[in-house]
Amino acid sequence: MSFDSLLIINRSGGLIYNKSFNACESSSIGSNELLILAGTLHSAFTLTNCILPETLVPFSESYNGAEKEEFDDLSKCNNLSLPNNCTDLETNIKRQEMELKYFPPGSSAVKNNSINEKTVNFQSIIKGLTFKGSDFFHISDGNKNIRLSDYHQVSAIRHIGTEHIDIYCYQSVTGTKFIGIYNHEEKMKHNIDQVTCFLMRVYALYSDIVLKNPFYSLDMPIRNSERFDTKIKALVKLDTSAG
Amino acid sequence: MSSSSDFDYLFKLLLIGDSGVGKSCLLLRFADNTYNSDYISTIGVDFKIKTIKLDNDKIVKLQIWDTAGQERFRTITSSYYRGAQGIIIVYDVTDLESFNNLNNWLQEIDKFGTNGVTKLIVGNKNDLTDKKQVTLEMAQEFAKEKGGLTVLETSALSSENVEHAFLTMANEIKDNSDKNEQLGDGNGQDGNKIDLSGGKSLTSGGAASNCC
Amino acid sequence: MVKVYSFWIFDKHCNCIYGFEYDSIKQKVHKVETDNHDMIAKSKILYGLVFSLTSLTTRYYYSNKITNESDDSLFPQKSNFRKITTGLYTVHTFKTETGLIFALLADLESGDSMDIELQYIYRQIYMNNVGLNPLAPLDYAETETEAKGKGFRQIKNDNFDKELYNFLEPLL
Repeated sequence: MSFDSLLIINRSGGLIYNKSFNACESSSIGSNELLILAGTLHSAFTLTNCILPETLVPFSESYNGAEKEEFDDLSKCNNLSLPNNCTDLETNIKRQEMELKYFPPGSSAVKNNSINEKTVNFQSIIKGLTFKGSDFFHISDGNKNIRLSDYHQVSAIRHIGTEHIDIYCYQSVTGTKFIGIYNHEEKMKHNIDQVTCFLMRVYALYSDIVLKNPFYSLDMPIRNSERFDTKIKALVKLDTSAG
Repeated sequence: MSSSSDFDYLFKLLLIGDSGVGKSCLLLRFADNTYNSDYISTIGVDFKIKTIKLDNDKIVKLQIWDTAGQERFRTITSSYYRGAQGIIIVYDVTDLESFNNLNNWLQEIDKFGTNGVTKLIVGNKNDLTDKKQVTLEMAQEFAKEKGGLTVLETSALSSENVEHAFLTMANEIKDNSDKNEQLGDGNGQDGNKIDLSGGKSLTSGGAASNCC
Repeated sequence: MVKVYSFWIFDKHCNCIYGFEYDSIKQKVHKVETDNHDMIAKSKILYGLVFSLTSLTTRYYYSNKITNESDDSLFPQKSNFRKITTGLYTVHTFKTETGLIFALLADLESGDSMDIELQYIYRQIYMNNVGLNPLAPLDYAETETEAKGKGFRQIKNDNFDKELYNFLEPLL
């Protein structure tokens, strides 16, 4: 399975960044097609919530204030006492804790570089950014407690699988979606959590480089950001089997 | 490796109105693409893209979200209002009912849409002059009441009117967003507050399962 | 243990011909029936989701490939959409050569694939009770409008219900 392309979709369903890592240059997908693809994916996120089985409704997070009351009612009438759920005191929404396994940068690369080398490579990506530590979002407490920063987006789509391609999605709390598309050219299986970790790193880069640029207007296409491009390229090289 | 951000701005426009007023036909000549109309009957939305050039030579992609008017999609389509910079409300000039429903649609915009979103009212099927029930005067009167919205009449035969309306709209949106940036709060007009606490979030999946 | 939330069958005319959802808390089965609007709405949305993602992935795949085959039919043969995973559940789908779509909503434990289960339902339970049943209609859409996505007829077959229930019961 090789990495095909990376898309970033803003919170209202518009495509703001896309980069194709496809080896074949003849890739003919136009920007209009990609915009439609982004919009369709965005609506798919809405639709997956509409087919939620009754029993899962209390676990889905709310959209914004508008549906809050509805959720309050629901959690009242289905007084569940399932294990492993925490109750959000503020909103009464019961949530299912999601456990995301941590994969260090470069864990899915085919080349068997030493761990040391990967760390060095990754540190060169982090260099110049505002992050401290060994990874953007993961907090390592000595060597026993490895913890990911909270990942609660339980009702977002994480993976769409077909015979030829795999689409992985990560949605930030603000609703920005990071989409990684893989094709099946190489027979290698990816773990959903592994790709999520990769996409979370892309998110970290996006928030550090793009969002902190005072000349960038929110929700608009990311253009002429060479720094972001280079870092993304390096990250993709490190984290996937692509070129 | 390629990346195809060949446009400077991306504006989201929403097309709403009663079912059967000819929303999709309206864009038939105007948009770059018209082929995948099978989406709308299944997921309640279809996408039309139009590339235009603004007065300052910037290239803008208008992504038009063409929504289904049927009642059963109502809760789903309401989640598409988020982040729309422009909303086009369509009625049928031969159908008084669809004109009277404009009020409901405007209420819906107030409820789900961004504050200060650019609005446009379009009376469709204007070529059927002998069946016309809603005159341009009536529509203009209504639009004036609602705070000076723009009204125009169009038909499947004439796309010129539409073209002009969209260009005006795009320029207006661009001016609006520039103004916001100068004020230093690009998000100021956006009534949606973002709550970053915990997992409760602004996911696109707004409607809960009992949405339909 | 895999937990199954709901099960659906769609025919080649985009109609839902069978579907139920199991509410494990209230221990109740909601079936797709003419007067159960909630379930009908859900079935339409599920179909729309499968349909739009199928066409999306196909279009993406083929426009990134140098192929001479272009397939604009409703269900292009070569895009076999398999599943969607969200943080809460997975939708597994299985499409037959005759255009039927079997869909199963299961929890995340179901992992990579429920193909074996879906194929068993199709080969054994569906074929024996509905497909090869001389009394079952060949096509659930009887008129032209019903064939255009307005169909409302469902599989009504006690044996099918029973066998399906027996098969899925340990998973509900």
